[in-house]
Amino acid sequence: MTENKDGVVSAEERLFCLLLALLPSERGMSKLDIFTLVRGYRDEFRQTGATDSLNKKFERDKDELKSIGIPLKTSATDNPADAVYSIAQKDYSFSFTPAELSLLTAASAVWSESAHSVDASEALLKLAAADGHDPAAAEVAPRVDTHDAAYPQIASAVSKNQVVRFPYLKPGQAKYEVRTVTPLSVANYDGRWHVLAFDHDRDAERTFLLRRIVGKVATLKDVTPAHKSDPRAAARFVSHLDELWDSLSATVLVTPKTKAAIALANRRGTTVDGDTYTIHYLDEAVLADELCEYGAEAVVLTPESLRTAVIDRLQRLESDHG
Amino acid sequence: MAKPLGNSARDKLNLFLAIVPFVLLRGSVTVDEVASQFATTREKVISAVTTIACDGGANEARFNFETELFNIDWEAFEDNGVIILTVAELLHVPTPFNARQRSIFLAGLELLKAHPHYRRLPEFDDLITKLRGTEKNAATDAFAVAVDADNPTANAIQDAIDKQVRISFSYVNNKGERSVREVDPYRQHIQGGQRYVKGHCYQAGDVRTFNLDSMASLTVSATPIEVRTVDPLALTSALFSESEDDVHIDVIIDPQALSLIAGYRRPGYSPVLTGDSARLTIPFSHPSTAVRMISALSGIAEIVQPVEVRADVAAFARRALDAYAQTA
Repeated sequence: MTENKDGVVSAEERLFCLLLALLPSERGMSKLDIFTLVRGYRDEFRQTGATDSLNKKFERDKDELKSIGIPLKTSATDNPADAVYSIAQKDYSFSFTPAELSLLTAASAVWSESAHSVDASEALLKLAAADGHDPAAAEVAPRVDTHDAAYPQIASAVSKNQVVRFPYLKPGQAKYEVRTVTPLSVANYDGRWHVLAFDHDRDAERTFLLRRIVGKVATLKDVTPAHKSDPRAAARFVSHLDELWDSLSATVLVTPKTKAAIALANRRGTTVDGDTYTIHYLDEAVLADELCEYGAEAVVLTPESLRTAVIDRLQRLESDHG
Repeated sequence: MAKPLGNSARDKLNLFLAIVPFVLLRGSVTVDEVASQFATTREKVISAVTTIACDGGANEARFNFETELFNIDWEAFEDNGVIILTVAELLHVPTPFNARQRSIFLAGLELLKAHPHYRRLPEFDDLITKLRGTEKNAATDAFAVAVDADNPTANAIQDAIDKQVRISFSYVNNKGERSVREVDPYRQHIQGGQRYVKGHCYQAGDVRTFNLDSMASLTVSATPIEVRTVDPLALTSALFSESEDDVHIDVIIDPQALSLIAGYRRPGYSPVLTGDSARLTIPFSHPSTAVRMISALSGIAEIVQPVEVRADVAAFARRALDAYAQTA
């Protein structure tokens, strides 16, 4: 051991030294070992002992290493002071074939840059480190439409199990309302992003359209989330949407050989009976907006509420442009 | 690379941990190569390598370890900007993906599963298993991209792409015009839940993008595609490009609803806010596309210019209302 002082040690060097110290030994180190031996801690420890500030610094560093993907383990002990910190060599693995790396590049390119979270950017850095970032694979990969500005914050709230508050423009309504929710899952269904969330004001789960979150998403750190995060949330959400899709249907009279005739026939679950199509949907107001795009090519026969909703929209469209 | 690294301690640590395996993999690399690989500057690379070599080579970092963790060829580094590292077996791989990153990849693979080209790759299922992880460090499955994975049209087109043969189909464009197209297909794309195929269209005499939902009567022929030089841009996932022939449409919209037209907005056209409305110019390849877009935004947005297109919207709505009156 050197008697010399380390002088100023930057946070990144301290984190790096902590990692290097823990890596070589499966046996691990106690907090006292770390404070005594590791550059970045030992100067302060020699001067002031294990103060609150030193303990907090260590906790933060430990969380930071875990958060970037280091498999740092804490042994379970009765007395926290006896805990041993180690990095499991067998979990410190990154083993992908070049073909798998190329597929991973394509999978990450699915999300456009605007939707990139810190995690996604860091994942790309790891691919580049493995020399596996394949620009050609990224270039041609399918894209999820992530123009929706709220995507990154909602995705992050799902990952971190946080409560958020946002202005929501409900389909078919003209003014937004403020909603407070714990987002549980995000799914792209029928070409749109849907959010499954527990609504704190309504005390029940609700589905939101990401595109209709029309303002800033605020994270409420002082509100307790409604649920623990659900590891199978997406599967549950998609099957819920499938059921909803199957249960809601409308009959539409289409003009043959038009865009509406082809597009609605290609829509999932559509049954065609001459010029009368039975089509499925998730939300009446969203479908009403969508059907307006086809104008006279697609006329709703049932349900009456959908027919009225489309007529209202068309009348407003005509008067606004008159 | 997506985003250049920032200056936080976390960003710097990530750079250290990325440089080491990359340098080992390549054997010897220049500072410039590393900077370009990680979209960062020479200065940041030099500073990172110096820290790695000093901390990694220093006694204090290896107090319970027999050999040196790192050794660098200082002469090659300082004189020629070439990085040659000798590293004990530790840190020879990038940092493992954390559970959230594995979730991001899994959700991406969900979308790729809907694309016949990717789903047919032999490593697809193994990779999913690998990413799911063991039960105790399982990736959360909270994100999903539900695109009907087994689409017969997409499968048939992929067969044609794999066999390099021509396809034909009837197609209705946004103007409502119906035509039969013969196409040498190059690549399929999925964007925003919609499927597209890009290829050389014999009727247009150029590369075109077709929406699978607007196709009917698809036939896969036995005719091989013609060998021709294709502009590489034609093969990227960019589906449509701005053109000089675009019609510029001015729209006014409730500012709170701008997100609803995000998919139509183009860089360089910013909304101007006045009072409680926003005015925005959007380029369209044909006015009929603008009419359809605005029709789905009744009560929220309206076209103000050109006046002819504004009148087209009113007429479009009137024709539709007449059709409703006939079925009353």
